Amino acid sequence: MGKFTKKGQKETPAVSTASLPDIVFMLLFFFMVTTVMREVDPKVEVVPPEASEIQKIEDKSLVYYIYIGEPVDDEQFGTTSRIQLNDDFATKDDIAVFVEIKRSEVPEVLVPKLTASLKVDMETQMGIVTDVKQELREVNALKINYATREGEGFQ
Amino acid sequence: MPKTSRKLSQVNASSMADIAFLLLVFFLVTTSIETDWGILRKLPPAEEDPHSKPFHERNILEVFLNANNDMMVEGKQMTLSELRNFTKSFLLNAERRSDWPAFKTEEIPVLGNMDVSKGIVSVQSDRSTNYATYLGVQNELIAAYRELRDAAAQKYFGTNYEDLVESGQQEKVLAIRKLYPQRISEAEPVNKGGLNR
Repeated sequence: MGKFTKKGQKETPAVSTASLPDIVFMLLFFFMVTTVMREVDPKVEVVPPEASEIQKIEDKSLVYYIYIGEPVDDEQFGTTSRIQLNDDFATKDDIAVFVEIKRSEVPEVLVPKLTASLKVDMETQMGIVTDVKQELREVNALKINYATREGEGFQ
Repeated sequence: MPKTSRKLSQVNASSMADIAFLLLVFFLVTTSIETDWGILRKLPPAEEDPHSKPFHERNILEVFLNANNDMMVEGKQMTLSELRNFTKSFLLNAERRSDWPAFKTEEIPVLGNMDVSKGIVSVQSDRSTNYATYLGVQNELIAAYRELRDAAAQKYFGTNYEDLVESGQQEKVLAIRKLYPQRISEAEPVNKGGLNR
């Protein structure tokens, strides 16, 4: 009557997982585009204060960072606020040299646009911040940025 | 011998997902979403003699911060939330008080002859003042200027100041900036641990 044969139990076809890597690649590309490789190993803990009147920095390549905060490892380094330049602790006397190095890395024309971004922990005291600012003034690095988180501002 | 056609079996693609996950984890671990916001500021050049510029006491809004993070504005103690409105009233000086800033008539393109305040805000902190407090004060001062500029932009151009900047109409933006020039000066800090008088 027909060549109908029972081929066996009908299985529901297995869910194809071929598109799973596509989804993961999309996530990956998203992260590749929106993040930057962390250049600096943070040796000081910096939680910037919140502020509402903030502006986004335009040209990130013309920004260099000065971190001020309590050391991450307070058993070894104590709890007084320290300055971190590049990957290591520094004192305010190192700032002049640091600025010169940053200036030499940038074409002459763009030197006036160099901005020092001060990433200062919210619990730091003004004394050390003012010293840093004074050193920056002495080397004529006048464009600065106080790094903040976005928020309502200190109340 | 008859050739049996074999059905081509599908390559198992599940390991592709594993490779992709590994790469993703690598990137998550080594990078950070760098949020670079902040308050941009220009420092005054060094060696500037603080007494070289003639100033009148009435034009200066004195803000003092002590080691206890208390704030004194023009001789009165004030909380941070009151600073913004006080600064605005001070700069506007609607009643033309003699102990508040004077005005100078300036010719501003687009707006014409306008009275521009001579007011300057001076912030002095103690060395032991909290940075968050100091930044909070700076934030409120900038907010005060922004609100004044917004009001002016609304009055003369019908939009607020931020939209005006984004629309790229340079002359109008410059006009508003000349009407309310942002003059915030930072005095040398003291190391007293108390209010400086």
